[in-house]
Amino acid sequence: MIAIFQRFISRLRAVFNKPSLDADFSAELAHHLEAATADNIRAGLTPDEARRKAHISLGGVEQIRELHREARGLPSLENLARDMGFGLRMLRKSPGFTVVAIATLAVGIGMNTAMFSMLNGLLLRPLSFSGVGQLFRLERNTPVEFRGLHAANNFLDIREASAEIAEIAGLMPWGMSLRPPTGAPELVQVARVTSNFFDVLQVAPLHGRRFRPEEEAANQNDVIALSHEYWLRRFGGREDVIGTVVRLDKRSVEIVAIMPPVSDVHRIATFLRSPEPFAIYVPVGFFEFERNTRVGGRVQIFGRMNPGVGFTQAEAHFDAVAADLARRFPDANRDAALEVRPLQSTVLRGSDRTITFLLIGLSGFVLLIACANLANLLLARTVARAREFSICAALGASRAQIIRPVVAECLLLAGAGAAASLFVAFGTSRWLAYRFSNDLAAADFSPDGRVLGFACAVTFATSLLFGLAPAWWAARRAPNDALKSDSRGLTGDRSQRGFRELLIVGQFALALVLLAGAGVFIRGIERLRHHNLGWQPEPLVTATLNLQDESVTWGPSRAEFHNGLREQLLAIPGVENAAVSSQSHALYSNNKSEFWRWAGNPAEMDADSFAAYQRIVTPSYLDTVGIRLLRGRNFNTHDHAGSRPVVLIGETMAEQLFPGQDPIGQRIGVPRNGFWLEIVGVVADARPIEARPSDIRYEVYQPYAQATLEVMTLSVKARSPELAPTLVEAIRRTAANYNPNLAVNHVMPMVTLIQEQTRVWETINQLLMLFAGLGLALAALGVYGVVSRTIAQRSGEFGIRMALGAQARDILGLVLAGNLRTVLAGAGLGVIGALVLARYLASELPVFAEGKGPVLLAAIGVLLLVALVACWLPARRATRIDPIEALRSE
Amino acid sequence: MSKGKLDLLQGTLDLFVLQTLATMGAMHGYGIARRIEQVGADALMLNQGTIYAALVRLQHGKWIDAEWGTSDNNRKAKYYEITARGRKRLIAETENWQRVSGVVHRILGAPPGEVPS
Repeated sequence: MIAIFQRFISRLRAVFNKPSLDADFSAELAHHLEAATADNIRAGLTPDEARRKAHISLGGVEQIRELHREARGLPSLENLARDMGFGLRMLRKSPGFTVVAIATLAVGIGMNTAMFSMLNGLLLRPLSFSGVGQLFRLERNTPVEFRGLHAANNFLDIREASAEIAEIAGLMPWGMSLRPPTGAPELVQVARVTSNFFDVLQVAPLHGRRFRPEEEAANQNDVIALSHEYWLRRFGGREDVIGTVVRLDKRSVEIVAIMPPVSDVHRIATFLRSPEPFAIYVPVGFFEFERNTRVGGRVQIFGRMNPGVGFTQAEAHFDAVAADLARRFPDANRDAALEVRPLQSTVLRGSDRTITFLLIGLSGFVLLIACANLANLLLARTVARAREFSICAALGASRAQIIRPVVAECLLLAGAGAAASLFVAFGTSRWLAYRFSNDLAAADFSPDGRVLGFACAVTFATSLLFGLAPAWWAARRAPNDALKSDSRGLTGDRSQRGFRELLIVGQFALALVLLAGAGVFIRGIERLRHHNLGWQPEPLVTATLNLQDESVTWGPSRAEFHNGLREQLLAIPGVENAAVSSQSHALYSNNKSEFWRWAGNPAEMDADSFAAYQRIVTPSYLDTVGIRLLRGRNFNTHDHAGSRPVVLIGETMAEQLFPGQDPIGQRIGVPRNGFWLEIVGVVADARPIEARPSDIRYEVYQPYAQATLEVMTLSVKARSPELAPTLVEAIRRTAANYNPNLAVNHVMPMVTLIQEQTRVWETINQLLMLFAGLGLALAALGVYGVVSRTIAQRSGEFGIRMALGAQARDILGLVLAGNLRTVLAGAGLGVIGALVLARYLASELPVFAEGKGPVLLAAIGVLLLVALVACWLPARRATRIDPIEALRSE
Repeated sequence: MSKGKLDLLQGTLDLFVLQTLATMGAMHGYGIARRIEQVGADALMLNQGTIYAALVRLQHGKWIDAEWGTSDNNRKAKYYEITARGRKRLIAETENWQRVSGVVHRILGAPPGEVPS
């Protein structure tokens, strides 16, 4: 053992001692030859013959040296070092190629990694709850809507019936006003949860205790738990906050627990009021009005299956429960199915999933284009050196000896590209994180090692494959052939040229798909945003109001409250109108309720119900927000708590529910609750930003005087859109000073709110444009490179043609025609790909189905233009060739 | 040539070098090569130059030592000398060869049908 180690050390030392050892051996050899020559002379030969014989007996000097070196050093190590050095020099000699290749790689790999890491952090990351495989979400599907929420009583019944199968917990997102011991009240996102919610998720409080089951009752729940993030932000992260009493809405509550950081709760809850994570958790405490109905609930049901219970069993159980509920309470639960969905699968829903995979796919395209570029570069380069390889082979180099430096070069290139891509990946991740995260959950966008590894593997493979293949082929060919063939620069034989053309075709096809995909997407988003909203967000300033004054909210003086506030706001110079509503039109509301049409006879009612979005508004709302009144009248002072309940309905609803009739005077309502609403007017449809134009939305408006909520949205219309941002501060002050119990939050121009809501879409837009641009640039670069090289190599041919009388124009035509054919083939292929992509998108998001044609044409146009320029630039050089020069050089 | 055969060849060459140095004292590379030719064992070498790789090997294993000195013709030459370790290896391998050749001899010489004892 020791001996082997000692030998290794000797060899290692020899590696570093090369020059002196070489000199040493030279001296030894010299002596050998002298002695041999002397002996031969003594034997009777002439000096010349003696010397010659001595040399022959010794053998080939170089080979002996080689053997000597191999015996004394570490040949593999030395060879590697030498090949690396050689490769490095070769790369340095053609800086253009090297830089382009490395940049291509960096962009391709880097972007891919960043993209995937972001998506991983946002959407794909598995939920972190322990035993997550046993967790599920219970959803409610009716013919009217999917994935709906549950009513309180239904929830309680379900929970009771399921004790054997699973532990069931409920969650309701809510907004409440919290006033810490010191400081102003603020509106926070609250999670109303059952006492076992965190038990189901198996998350224990960081400090403090769980909620107790008895605290679920409405009057006994004066306790709250702080979320980790809120605890740090508002309470300084001090442990002694346990036991502190704070004002929550109208009550005084005690802080009994602090939760650990669990951002995944935010990921599984839906229908949130705002993108903020939950600030506090409170026991669910169902209100009176929630207990009385089985319709229109807001409870989200989560559960953990008991050990040994599987999904099939759970599904069967909940089917039975749903049937039972339908039987006992047909009005509310007829046709309502309960669906069990594994919790992990609910994180990425329908269109989100599509978008995610779209983005991943497209960034993969960019990588492919980059690899194709690299392949082309390498191919061209190695083919040009094929002659050199053949000569080496003719001189006796083994195939391994020729290939090794090429391998080294490819590895160096791929390695440098991968290293550079790290920078790109980090930089892009940073930018994405900045764009996506608010002051909330710090999204984890650190580059994913797996993806980086995969992308690197792809590029190394590409690099080796396209760098080696030609070298292998060249080294194999009989040297005679290579040396005999056209010495005027090799463009490679037919098959190689064909292959390179194929690469170009592929690149352009991919680029076109990228362009088309991005175009379709961007156009779809634009249509969503600008397509006939039905209302005008530009001049508006919006704010959320939370009033904790029972006398006002529920009493008759609420009309005065709203009027008073409006008058104060109108006094601000630049304000044209102001109104209050239950929810802003900017937000995608899920506040749907079930209604029935009155058949005319109080005793009868229409068999069919319909669902409509409810909105509670003040009379000035229509004018402030810009919704047109089409028929009938607006709300006015005659509509108050004591008068007949009235509503306004949207025009689509009017057309569909009362075809051919005048809806004015008709009634809708909820018969079981005993109230009917008379339709007094029809307004134009008004959509939230993210709703699809093809969505059919029934809208029902009620006056604030006849219904009310504590949490309201304020909309203030400025005289002109430019004025809106300037009024923000004045509005905030006026509203805050109006009533001490009024909490005013999120005061901002409406367009800012919309931007925030659609920020994800914006970023995706930008990403897509980036991808498309990159893909196109890379493809163009590829074409440019190939065309330049071809022209340079064919300069001899062009020289001959020009000498024979061809004009510059003809040469240009020759070059362009050949290359454009390739590009067109690529475009053709790309069109097919783009159509497939568009179809896939459309199936998930119907809004993208429209307007495919123009986008595709535009994309093709851009592609052809870019390709033309990429071909034309080097082609121009061809025309400037001096025939004599070309013929002379080779 | 298979690796096994090559090793065998190299090993035998090494042995011969050691033997030469043991019996004839310090010699330079040319001298050793000439001696091999005289004895008729030049099938062991491709050409005279092969000896030098063997010499390097033996040096690494510390079986021989090298030193620059002056030759008979008053020239600088590198002389090799066997070490104690080398002698030990020589003895061991010689015994080994003799044992092996004895067995082979008996196998090849045994009349058919008889188990060699």
